[in-house]
Amino acid sequence: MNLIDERFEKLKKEGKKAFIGYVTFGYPSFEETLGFIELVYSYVDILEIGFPFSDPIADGEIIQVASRKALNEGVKLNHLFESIEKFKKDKPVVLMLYANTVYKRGIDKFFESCKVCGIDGVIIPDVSFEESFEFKEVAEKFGIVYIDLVSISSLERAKMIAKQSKGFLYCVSRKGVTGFKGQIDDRIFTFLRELKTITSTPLAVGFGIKSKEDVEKFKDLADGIVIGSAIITKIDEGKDKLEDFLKEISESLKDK
Amino acid sequence: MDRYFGRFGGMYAPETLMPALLEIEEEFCKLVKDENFLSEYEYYLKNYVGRPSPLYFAKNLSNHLGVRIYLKREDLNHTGAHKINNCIGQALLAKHMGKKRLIAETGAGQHGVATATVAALFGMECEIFMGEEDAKRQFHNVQRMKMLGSTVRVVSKGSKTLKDAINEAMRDWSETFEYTFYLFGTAAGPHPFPTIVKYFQSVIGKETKEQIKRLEGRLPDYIFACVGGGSNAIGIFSAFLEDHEVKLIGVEGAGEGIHTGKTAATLCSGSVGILHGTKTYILQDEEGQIQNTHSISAGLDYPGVGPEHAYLKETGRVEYVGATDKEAVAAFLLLTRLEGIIPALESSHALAEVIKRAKMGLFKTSDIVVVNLSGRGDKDINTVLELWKDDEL
Repeated sequence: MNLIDERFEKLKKEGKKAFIGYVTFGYPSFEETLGFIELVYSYVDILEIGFPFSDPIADGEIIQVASRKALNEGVKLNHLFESIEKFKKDKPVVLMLYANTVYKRGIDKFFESCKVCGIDGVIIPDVSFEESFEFKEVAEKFGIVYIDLVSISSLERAKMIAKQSKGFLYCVSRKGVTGFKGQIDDRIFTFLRELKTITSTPLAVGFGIKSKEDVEKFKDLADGIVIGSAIITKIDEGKDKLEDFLKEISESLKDK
Repeated sequence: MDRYFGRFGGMYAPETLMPALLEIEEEFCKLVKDENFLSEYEYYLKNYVGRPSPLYFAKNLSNHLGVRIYLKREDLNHTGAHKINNCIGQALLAKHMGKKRLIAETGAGQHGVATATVAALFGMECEIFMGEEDAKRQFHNVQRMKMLGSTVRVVSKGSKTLKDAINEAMRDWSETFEYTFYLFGTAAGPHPFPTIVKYFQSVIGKETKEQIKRLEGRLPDYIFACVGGGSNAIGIFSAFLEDHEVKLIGVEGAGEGIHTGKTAATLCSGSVGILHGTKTYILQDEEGQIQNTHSISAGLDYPGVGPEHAYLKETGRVEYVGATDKEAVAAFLLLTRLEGIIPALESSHALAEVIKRAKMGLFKTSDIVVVNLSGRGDKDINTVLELWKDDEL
């Protein structure tokens, strides 16, 4: 059993929900990034590391800016692989990156490196379900979990994807890109309820979740919460503020 | 509907956008079989765009270069470029789908102007995304779009050119697709856009074929077209793909030179990757990050290219070459002086390749050459003027 499945099993037994925290690799600087990543890793159940891309069409303003800054710092994919080896313990690490980064490296070579350095799962937000199979086959060969995304924009498609999902199903809680704009769309609650009836894969909700209050809304329906842009914003406010935020979210998810 | 051209193409799109793309594919498949839709499209092409556009024998240029040269006059279309063919078609599609708002990206501004024009014509709300650099280069086109009632959203992120305008338009669309239609400007992007744009631009090739047969009694020996995303090129090439005696040449914006790093010649110096929803040739570094491009022509300044062009390169059916900024400007001035036709800087790249080959003696005097003059150059006069003064070209 892979680490992602193990973690969800464990949380389920304890009656808890997963805290999945996102950090952009290379942000806020080449020197400081590992310190922040390790801090987030210590509070979350699953760490999601974003590798920056020059044209991140699925991301909102905050992650775009972080990605651009990280690229200006000169981060390379090999730096990321080497860094993971340094801090990886028994909690799962999931890598979020864009299709071209994987494709340029070579799909086989990429997933092999993931295996070697201890990455447990991969999320590629600009690859639709239809195009995902060339990535999924290789991921499976190396024992890496390929995580699918589903969106409230189509329950019909979400059901189709959910039926064969692995690790966790990343449920995009609103139309649009990552970040804070707008309110959580109420349709997400019906959406989660429907998905629960057709898959036993844990459901993780993300995009636009920024506070303890937002987390509370999903606690009964989702198995995990993904927080990204809000963590990047807290990194800008410094380690103390970030730690307070991580503590608060982590505790609210552990409350029964 | 096949979403691939050989190994190129596909729908590499965020899941949020997939229902929107699939909806467009479904509606398009229905409408191209609908006689009422097709006759409505043809009505606007004839009476609003001004089609068919002439195939003009450029006598003076032909005498100068020693080969028979015809110009497919897409510059004479309403709004001054081939872009309007696609915009009329897609706006009608949007209207049939009940969408109230159009969005579009633009580099040189021609697609933005054409989209703003059809939005005015069909009474739709319209927002155009344009890189800050391009908006500066194409000030008058920005003003035209605003006069037509559209909002111009200037994108100051990234390289501030076309690719960043596409990124922003896609982000907007992923939030608003329930009432917004993304009127994609070139034969690139995720399926079904490459196929839809080719369909609406194929009128250029169909007309050219009929016209040249009427004028010369045979098919041409060569067809030249400039390639940014590649919509005018695929439009004119489409009718001749099976006619193997016709040599098809796509000319990219080589900027300062194909191997100088300051180029937009994607097929000549790029490699296969995934950008803006499609697998195609792109300009990228060894890590897969998209590189900044350079071309004197904003319309060619794109680090990707339509996936069918990638396929046509790989199969060898079309030859792709690059023309530099300087060669394009020289071609711009030559056509202006010899024929009294001011071509777009994009089209000047195609002309530049004809001039280069003529000077190298690569044509026979009996050869018939067709150049797709994709747009008019009024928008580029300031750009050319800067170089003209400096270099006395």
